[in-house]
Amino acid sequence: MRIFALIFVSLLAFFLSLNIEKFISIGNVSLKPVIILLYFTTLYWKPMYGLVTGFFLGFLYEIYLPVFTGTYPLIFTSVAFCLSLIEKKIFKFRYNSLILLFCTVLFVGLVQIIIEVDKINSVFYIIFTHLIPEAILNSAVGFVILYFIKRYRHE
Amino acid sequence: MEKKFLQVYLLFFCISLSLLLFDGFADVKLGNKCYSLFSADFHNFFSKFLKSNDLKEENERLLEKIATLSYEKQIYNELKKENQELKEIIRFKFNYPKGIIPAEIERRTLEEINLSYQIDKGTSEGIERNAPVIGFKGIVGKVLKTGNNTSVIQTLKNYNSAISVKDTRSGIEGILKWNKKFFIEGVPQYADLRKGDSLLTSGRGSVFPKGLPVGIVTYVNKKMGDYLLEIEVEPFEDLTRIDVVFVIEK
Repeated sequence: MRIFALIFVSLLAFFLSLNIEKFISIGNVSLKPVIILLYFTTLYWKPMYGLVTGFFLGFLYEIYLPVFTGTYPLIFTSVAFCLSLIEKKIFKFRYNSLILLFCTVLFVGLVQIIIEVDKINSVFYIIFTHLIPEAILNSAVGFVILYFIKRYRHE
Repeated sequence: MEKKFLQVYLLFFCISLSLLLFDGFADVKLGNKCYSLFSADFHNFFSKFLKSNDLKEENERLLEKIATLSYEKQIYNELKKENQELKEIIRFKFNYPKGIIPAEIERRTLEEINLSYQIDKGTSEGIERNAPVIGFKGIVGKVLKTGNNTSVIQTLKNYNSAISVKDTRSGIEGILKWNKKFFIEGVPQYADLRKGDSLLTSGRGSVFPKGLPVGIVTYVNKKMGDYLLEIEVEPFEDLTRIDVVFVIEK
Protein backbone atom coordinates (compact mmCIF):
# COMPACT_ATOMS: atom_id res chain seq x y z
CA MET A 1 0.00 0.00 0.00
CA ARG A 2 2.82 2.35 0.96
CA ILE A 3 4.56 1.65 -2.32
CA PHE A 4 1.45 2.68 -4.28
CA ALA A 5 1.15 5.82 -2.19
CA LEU A 6 4.80 6.59 -2.91
CA ILE A 7 4.33 6.06 -6.65
CA PHE A 8 1.25 8.27 -6.63
CA VAL A 9 2.93 11.03 -4.64
CA SER A 10 6.03 10.81 -6.84
CA LEU A 11 4.04 11.19 -10.02
CA LEU A 12 2.06 14.03 -8.47
CA ALA A 13 5.27 15.78 -7.49
CA PHE A 14 6.63 15.24 -10.98
CA PHE A 15 3.62 16.76 -12.70
CA LEU A 16 3.49 19.59 -10.19
CA SER A 17 7.13 20.35 -10.83
CA LEU A 18 6.40 20.60 -14.54
CA ASN A 19 3.37 22.81 -14.04
CA ILE A 20 4.25 24.84 -11.01
CA GLU A 21 7.29 26.39 -12.63
CA LYS A 22 4.94 28.08 -15.05
CA PHE A 23 1.91 28.84 -12.95
CA ILE A 24 2.80 29.21 -9.27
CA SER A 25 6.23 30.73 -9.66
CA ILE A 26 6.91 34.09 -8.06
CA GLY A 27 8.94 35.89 -10.66
CA ASN A 28 11.64 33.36 -11.51
CA VAL A 29 11.43 31.66 -8.12
CA SER A 30 9.53 28.40 -8.18
CA LEU A 31 8.72 25.45 -5.96
CA LYS A 32 10.64 22.19 -6.32
CA PRO A 33 8.12 19.48 -5.34
CA VAL A 34 10.47 16.70 -6.44
CA ILE A 35 13.23 17.83 -4.08
CA ILE A 36 10.77 18.37 -1.23
CA LEU A 37 9.41 14.86 -1.78
CA LEU A 38 12.91 13.43 -1.92
CA TYR A 39 13.87 15.22 1.28
CA PHE A 40 10.86 14.15 3.30
CA THR A 41 10.79 10.58 1.95
CA THR A 42 14.45 10.03 2.79
CA LEU A 43 14.45 11.67 6.19
CA TYR A 44 10.98 11.02 7.54
CA TRP A 45 9.85 7.85 5.78
CA LYS A 46 12.52 5.40 4.64
CA PRO A 47 15.92 6.20 3.10
CA MET A 48 15.52 3.32 0.65
CA TYR A 49 12.28 4.83 -0.66
CA GLY A 50 14.08 8.12 -1.11
CA LEU A 51 16.79 6.42 -3.11
CA VAL A 52 14.36 4.60 -5.41
CA THR A 53 12.14 7.69 -5.80
CA GLY A 54 15.16 9.83 -6.63
CA PHE A 55 16.41 7.35 -9.22
CA PHE A 56 13.12 6.98 -11.12
CA LEU A 57 12.00 10.58 -10.77
CA GLY A 58 15.41 11.61 -12.06
CA PHE A 59 14.74 9.68 -15.27
CA LEU A 60 11.30 11.17 -15.66
CA TYR A 61 12.58 14.63 -14.86
CA GLU A 62 15.27 14.69 -17.51
CA ILE A 63 12.92 13.63 -20.30
CA TYR A 64 11.85 17.26 -20.39
CA LEU A 65 15.30 18.75 -19.94
CA PRO A 66 18.14 18.97 -22.45
CA VAL A 67 20.76 17.13 -20.38
CA PHE A 68 22.68 13.90 -20.74
CA THR A 69 20.77 10.80 -19.66
CA GLY A 70 21.64 9.79 -16.13
CA THR A 71 22.39 13.27 -14.84
CA TYR A 72 19.34 13.70 -12.67
CA PRO A 73 19.19 10.08 -11.38
CA LEU A 74 22.79 10.57 -10.32
CA ILE A 75 22.05 13.88 -8.59
CA PHE A 76 18.85 12.74 -6.90
CA THR A 77 20.19 9.38 -5.68
CA SER A 78 23.31 11.10 -4.38
CA VAL A 79 21.16 13.67 -2.57
CA ALA A 80 19.08 10.87 -1.05
CA PHE A 81 22.24 9.02 -0.04
CA CYS A 82 23.78 12.11 1.57
CA LEU A 83 20.55 12.87 3.41
CA SER A 84 20.41 9.32 4.74
CA LEU A 85 24.00 9.72 6.00
CA ILE A 86 23.09 12.89 7.87
CA GLU A 87 19.73 11.56 9.12
CA LYS A 88 21.11 10.03 12.33
CA LYS A 89 23.22 13.07 13.17
CA ILE A 90 20.47 15.69 13.27
CA PHE A 91 17.32 16.30 15.25
CA LYS A 92 15.08 15.96 12.26
CA PHE A 93 11.85 16.87 14.05
CA ARG A 94 13.15 20.28 15.00
CA TYR A 95 12.33 23.14 12.72
CA ASN A 96 15.95 24.23 12.46
CA SER A 97 16.64 20.94 10.67
CA LEU A 98 15.02 22.59 7.67
CA ILE A 99 18.35 24.26 7.02
CA LEU A 100 19.17 20.91 5.46
CA LEU A 101 16.28 21.34 2.99
CA PHE A 102 17.57 24.83 2.29
CA CYS A 103 21.02 23.42 1.54
CA THR A 104 19.58 20.58 -0.57
CA VAL A 105 17.59 22.94 -2.79
CA LEU A 106 20.60 25.21 -3.06
CA PHE A 107 22.88 22.31 -3.96
CA VAL A 108 20.55 20.87 -6.62
CA GLY A 109 19.98 24.35 -8.05
CA LEU A 110 23.71 24.94 -8.18
CA VAL A 111 24.32 21.66 -9.98
CA GLN A 112 21.53 22.53 -12.42
CA ILE A 113 23.19 25.88 -13.11
CA ILE A 114 26.57 24.26 -13.66
CA ILE A 115 24.96 21.86 -16.14
CA GLU A 116 22.79 24.38 -17.95
CA VAL A 117 24.54 27.76 -17.75
CA ASP A 118 27.55 28.36 -19.95
CA LYS A 119 28.77 31.70 -18.67
CA ILE A 120 30.33 31.28 -15.27
CA ASN A 121 30.21 35.02 -14.48
CA SER A 122 26.42 34.97 -14.37
CA VAL A 123 26.35 32.13 -11.80
CA PHE A 124 26.78 34.45 -8.80
CA TYR A 125 24.03 36.69 -10.03
CA ILE A 126 21.71 33.66 -10.40
CA ILE A 127 22.63 32.38 -6.92
CA PHE A 128 21.52 35.60 -5.25
CA THR A 129 18.52 36.43 -7.38
CA HIS A 130 17.20 32.95 -8.04
CA LEU A 131 18.69 30.14 -5.95
CA ILE A 132 18.62 31.61 -2.45
CA PRO A 133 15.02 32.94 -2.76
CA GLU A 134 14.04 29.55 -4.19
CA ALA A 135 15.66 27.71 -1.28
CA ILE A 136 13.83 30.01 1.17
CA LEU A 137 10.49 29.39 -0.55
CA ASN A 138 10.98 25.62 -0.54
CA SER A 139 12.06 25.72 3.11
CA ALA A 140 8.89 27.62 3.95
CA VAL A 141 6.81 24.90 2.29
CA GLY A 142 8.94 22.33 4.11
CA PHE A 143 8.11 24.12 7.36
CA VAL A 144 4.39 23.62 6.74
CA ILE A 145 4.89 19.94 5.87
CA LEU A 146 7.04 19.40 8.96
CA TYR A 147 4.37 21.04 11.11
CA PHE A 148 1.82 18.48 9.89
CA ILE A 149 4.30 15.60 10.29
CA LYS A 150 4.93 16.65 13.89
CA ARG A 151 1.24 16.94 14.61
CA TYR A 152 0.53 13.54 13.09
CA ARG A 153 3.43 12.04 15.09
CA HIS A 154 2.04 13.40 18.39
CA GLU A 155 -1.39 12.04 17.66
CA MET B 1 24.20 2.08 7.57
CA GLU B 2 22.48 -0.89 6.10
CA LYS B 3 24.55 -2.87 3.68
CA LYS B 4 21.56 -3.32 1.38
CA PHE B 5 21.02 0.40 1.21
CA LEU B 6 24.59 1.01 0.23
CA GLN B 7 24.42 -1.70 -2.41
CA VAL B 8 21.28 -0.21 -3.93
CA TYR B 9 22.84 3.23 -3.93
CA LEU B 10 25.97 1.93 -5.65
CA LEU B 11 23.85 0.11 -8.20
CA PHE B 12 21.87 3.24 -9.02
CA PHE B 13 25.04 5.30 -9.03
CA CYS B 14 26.74 2.94 -11.46
CA ILE B 15 23.71 2.77 -13.75
CA SER B 16 23.40 6.56 -13.81
CA LEU B 17 27.08 7.10 -14.34
CA SER B 18 27.32 4.54 -17.13
CA LEU B 19 24.29 6.07 -18.84
CA LEU B 20 25.83 9.49 -18.47
CA LEU B 21 29.14 8.35 -19.95
CA PHE B 22 27.47 6.40 -22.72
CA ASP B 23 25.26 9.36 -23.59
CA GLY B 24 28.24 11.72 -23.54
CA PHE B 25 30.13 9.69 -26.13
CA ALA B 26 27.20 8.50 -28.25
CA ASP B 27 26.37 10.25 -31.52
CA VAL B 28 22.67 10.14 -30.84
CA LYS B 29 21.87 11.14 -27.32
CA LEU B 30 20.11 8.47 -25.32
CA GLY B 31 18.02 11.21 -23.73
CA ASN B 32 16.83 12.29 -27.15
CA LYS B 33 15.95 8.70 -28.03
CA CYS B 34 14.00 8.30 -24.79
CA TYR B 35 12.42 11.64 -25.36
CA SER B 36 11.28 10.69 -28.86
CA LEU B 37 9.97 7.36 -27.53
CA PHE B 38 8.05 9.01 -24.74
CA SER B 39 7.14 12.16 -26.53
CA ALA B 40 5.05 10.42 -29.20
CA ASP B 41 2.28 9.45 -26.81
CA PHE B 42 3.13 10.47 -23.31
CA HIS B 43 4.16 14.01 -23.97
CA ASN B 44 1.46 14.67 -26.55
CA PHE B 45 -1.16 13.43 -24.16
CA PHE B 46 -0.05 15.72 -21.37
CA SER B 47 1.04 18.62 -23.53
CA LYS B 48 -2.50 19.92 -23.53
CA PHE B 49 -2.22 20.49 -19.81
CA LEU B 50 1.42 21.39 -19.72
CA LYS B 51 1.40 23.82 -22.60
CA SER B 52 -1.73 25.75 -21.81
CA ASN B 53 0.39 28.90 -21.59
CA ASP B 54 1.69 28.30 -25.09
CA LEU B 55 -1.85 27.76 -26.29
CA LYS B 56 -2.85 31.02 -24.69
CA GLU B 57 -0.05 32.81 -26.52
CA GLU B 58 -0.98 31.09 -29.76
CA ASN B 59 -4.58 32.08 -29.24
CA GLU B 60 -3.56 35.71 -28.77
CA ARG B 61 -1.39 35.54 -31.88
CA LEU B 62 -4.25 34.08 -33.90
CA LEU B 63 -6.66 36.73 -32.60
CA GLU B 64 -4.20 39.37 -33.71
CA LYS B 65 -4.02 37.70 -37.11
CA ILE B 66 -7.82 37.63 -37.36
CA ALA B 67 -7.93 41.33 -36.53
CA THR B 68 -5.35 42.07 -39.24
CA LEU B 69 -7.18 39.93 -41.78
CA SER B 70 -10.50 41.52 -40.89
CA TYR B 71 -8.92 44.96 -41.39
CA GLU B 72 -7.49 43.86 -44.73
CA LYS B 73 -10.88 42.49 -45.72
CA GLN B 74 -12.46 45.84 -44.96
CA ILE B 75 -9.88 47.56 -47.18
CA TYR B 76 -10.51 44.97 -49.88
CA ASN B 77 -14.28 45.58 -49.70
CA GLU B 78 -13.68 49.30 -49.91
CA LEU B 79 -11.48 48.84 -52.97
CA LYS B 80 -14.05 46.53 -54.52
CA LYS B 81 -16.74 49.16 -53.98
CA GLU B 82 -14.52 51.85 -55.47
CA ASN B 83 -13.75 49.62 -58.45
CA GLN B 84 -17.45 49.05 -59.01
CA GLU B 85 -18.10 52.79 -58.83
CA LEU B 86 -15.38 53.49 -61.36
CA LYS B 87 -16.81 50.85 -63.69
CA GLU B 88 -20.23 52.48 -63.35
CA ILE B 89 -18.71 55.88 -64.13
CA ILE B 90 -17.21 54.52 -67.33
CA ARG B 91 -20.50 52.84 -68.31
CA PHE B 92 -22.46 55.96 -67.40
CA LYS B 93 -20.17 58.15 -69.47
CA PHE B 94 -20.62 55.96 -72.55
CA ASN B 95 -24.39 55.71 -72.17
CA TYR B 96 -25.09 59.36 -71.62
CA PRO B 97 -25.68 61.25 -74.89
CA LYS B 98 -24.35 64.63 -73.86
CA GLY B 99 -20.83 65.33 -72.71
CA ILE B 100 -20.43 64.77 -69.00
CA ILE B 101 -17.56 65.43 -66.64
CA PRO B 102 -17.17 63.01 -63.73
CA ALA B 103 -15.98 64.65 -60.53
CA GLU B 104 -15.20 63.51 -57.04
CA ILE B 105 -16.63 65.26 -54.01
CA GLU B 106 -13.78 66.69 -51.99
CA ARG B 107 -15.71 68.38 -49.25
CA ARG B 108 -19.29 68.81 -48.18
CA THR B 109 -21.01 71.10 -45.74
CA LEU B 110 -21.79 69.41 -42.48
CA GLU B 111 -25.21 70.89 -41.93
CA GLU B 112 -28.20 69.51 -43.73
CA ILE B 113 -29.55 72.98 -44.46
CA ASN B 114 -28.25 74.29 -47.75
CA LEU B 115 -26.13 71.22 -48.40
CA SER B 116 -23.35 71.91 -50.88
CA TYR B 117 -20.33 70.04 -52.20
CA GLN B 118 -16.92 71.02 -53.38
CA ILE B 119 -15.76 68.96 -56.34
CA ASP B 120 -12.28 68.42 -57.77
CA LYS B 121 -13.02 69.83 -61.24
CA GLY B 122 -13.19 73.44 -62.35
CA THR B 123 -13.17 75.66 -65.39
CA SER B 124 -9.94 74.08 -66.63
CA GLU B 125 -11.93 70.86 -67.19
CA GLY B 126 -14.76 72.74 -68.90
CA ILE B 127 -17.16 73.19 -66.00
CA GLU B 128 -19.37 76.23 -66.25
CA ARG B 129 -21.54 78.05 -63.77
CA ASN B 130 -25.16 76.76 -63.51
CA ALA B 131 -24.28 73.48 -65.22
CA PRO B 132 -26.60 70.67 -64.04
CA VAL B 133 -25.08 68.02 -61.80
CA ILE B 134 -26.35 64.47 -61.60
CA GLY B 135 -25.47 61.28 -59.75
CA PHE B 136 -25.83 57.62 -60.77
CA LYS B 137 -29.54 57.58 -59.95
CA GLY B 138 -30.76 61.09 -60.48
CA ILE B 139 -30.34 64.81 -60.25
CA VAL B 140 -28.08 66.26 -57.55
CA GLY B 141 -28.04 70.02 -58.12
CA LYS B 142 -26.22 72.64 -60.15
CA VAL B 143 -22.82 74.31 -60.22
CA LEU B 144 -22.91 77.41 -58.07
CA LYS B 145 -19.36 78.69 -58.26
CA THR B 146 -16.43 77.72 -60.41
CA GLY B 147 -12.75 77.95 -59.73
CA ASN B 148 -9.86 76.91 -61.89
CA ASN B 149 -9.62 73.42 -60.43
CA THR B 150 -12.57 73.21 -58.06
CA SER B 151 -16.25 74.05 -58.13
CA VAL B 152 -19.05 74.38 -55.62
CA ILE B 153 -22.30 72.55 -56.20
CA GLN B 154 -25.59 73.69 -54.82
CA THR B 155 -27.58 70.52 -54.10
CA LEU B 156 -31.32 70.07 -54.13
CA LYS B 157 -31.28 70.42 -50.38
CA ASN B 158 -31.22 74.16 -50.54
CA TYR B 159 -33.84 76.80 -49.76
CA ASN B 160 -33.01 78.53 -53.03
CA SER B 161 -33.30 75.43 -55.15
CA ALA B 162 -36.33 75.25 -57.49
CA ILE B 163 -36.60 72.72 -60.29
CA SER B 164 -39.39 72.30 -62.73
CA VAL B 165 -40.48 68.65 -62.67
CA LYS B 166 -42.95 66.52 -64.58
CA ASP B 167 -44.89 63.39 -63.57
CA THR B 168 -43.97 60.56 -65.95
CA ARG B 169 -47.43 58.95 -65.68
CA SER B 170 -49.82 61.93 -65.97
CA GLY B 171 -47.55 64.66 -67.34
CA ILE B 172 -48.50 67.07 -64.53
CA GLU B 173 -45.85 69.68 -63.91
CA GLY B 174 -44.79 71.43 -60.74
CA ILE B 175 -41.85 73.09 -58.95
CA LEU B 176 -39.70 70.94 -56.71
CA LYS B 177 -38.44 72.81 -53.65
CA TRP B 178 -36.86 71.99 -50.33
CA ASN B 179 -37.73 73.19 -46.87
CA LYS B 180 -36.45 70.52 -44.49
CA LYS B 181 -38.19 68.06 -46.84
CA PHE B 182 -38.78 67.92 -50.58
CA PHE B 183 -42.15 69.06 -51.81
CA ILE B 184 -43.83 70.08 -55.06
CA GLU B 185 -45.43 73.43 -55.33
CA GLY B 186 -48.05 74.62 -57.76
CA VAL B 187 -50.04 71.46 -58.43
CA PRO B 188 -53.81 72.02 -58.22
CA GLN B 189 -56.04 69.65 -56.21
CA TYR B 190 -57.79 68.29 -59.28
CA ALA B 191 -54.47 67.14 -60.81
CA ASP B 192 -53.91 63.41 -61.20
CA LEU B 193 -50.81 62.88 -59.08
CA ARG B 194 -50.42 59.73 -56.99
CA LYS B 195 -48.07 58.30 -54.45
CA GLY B 196 -45.33 56.28 -56.20
CA ASP B 197 -45.24 58.40 -59.36
CA SER B 198 -41.81 59.08 -60.81
CA LEU B 199 -40.69 62.58 -61.55
CA LEU B 200 -38.35 63.88 -64.26
CA THR B 201 -37.09 67.33 -65.08
CA SER B 202 -39.49 69.08 -67.43
CA GLY B 203 -36.88 71.13 -69.28
CA ARG B 204 -38.48 74.45 -68.47
CA GLY B 205 -36.00 76.97 -67.16
CA SER B 206 -32.48 77.52 -68.31
CA VAL B 207 -30.55 75.13 -66.04
CA PHE B 208 -31.76 71.53 -66.26
CA PRO B 209 -32.36 69.72 -69.55
CA LYS B 210 -35.50 67.69 -70.08
CA GLY B 211 -35.79 64.10 -68.83
CA LEU B 212 -33.34 63.90 -65.94
CA PRO B 213 -34.64 61.58 -63.18
CA VAL B 214 -35.52 63.48 -60.02
CA GLY B 215 -37.40 61.35 -57.51
CA ILE B 216 -40.56 59.61 -56.48
CA VAL B 217 -43.79 60.93 -54.94
CA THR B 218 -44.09 59.65 -51.37
CA TYR B 219 -47.05 61.61 -49.99
CA VAL B 220 -50.10 63.29 -51.56
CA ASN B 221 -52.68 65.15 -49.46
CA LYS B 222 -55.73 67.15 -50.42
CA LYS B 223 -56.16 69.79 -47.74
CA MET B 224 -59.67 71.11 -47.13
CA GLY B 225 -60.03 74.72 -48.22
CA ASP B 226 -56.70 74.75 -50.02
CA TYR B 227 -56.42 75.08 -53.77
CA LEU B 228 -53.12 73.23 -54.11
CA LEU B 229 -52.09 69.65 -53.36
CA GLU B 230 -49.64 68.87 -50.58
CA ILE B 231 -47.01 66.62 -52.22
CA GLU B 232 -43.85 65.21 -50.72
CA VAL B 233 -41.01 63.74 -52.78
CA GLU B 234 -38.06 61.47 -52.11
CA PRO B 235 -35.17 62.09 -54.53
CA PHE B 236 -33.63 59.09 -56.31
CA GLU B 237 -30.16 60.15 -55.28
CA ASP B 238 -29.12 59.90 -51.65
CA LEU B 239 -27.45 63.27 -51.30
CA THR B 240 -25.72 62.50 -48.01
CA ARG B 241 -23.90 59.40 -49.22
CA ILE B 242 -22.88 60.30 -52.74
CA ASP B 243 -19.14 60.39 -53.54
CA VAL B 244 -19.02 60.90 -57.30
CA VAL B 245 -21.10 63.31 -59.38
CA PHE B 246 -21.35 64.12 -63.07
CA VAL B 247 -21.45 67.64 -64.41
CA ILE B 248 -23.34 67.93 -67.68
CA GLU B 249 -21.66 70.16 -70.21
CA LYS B 250 -23.89 72.98 -71.29
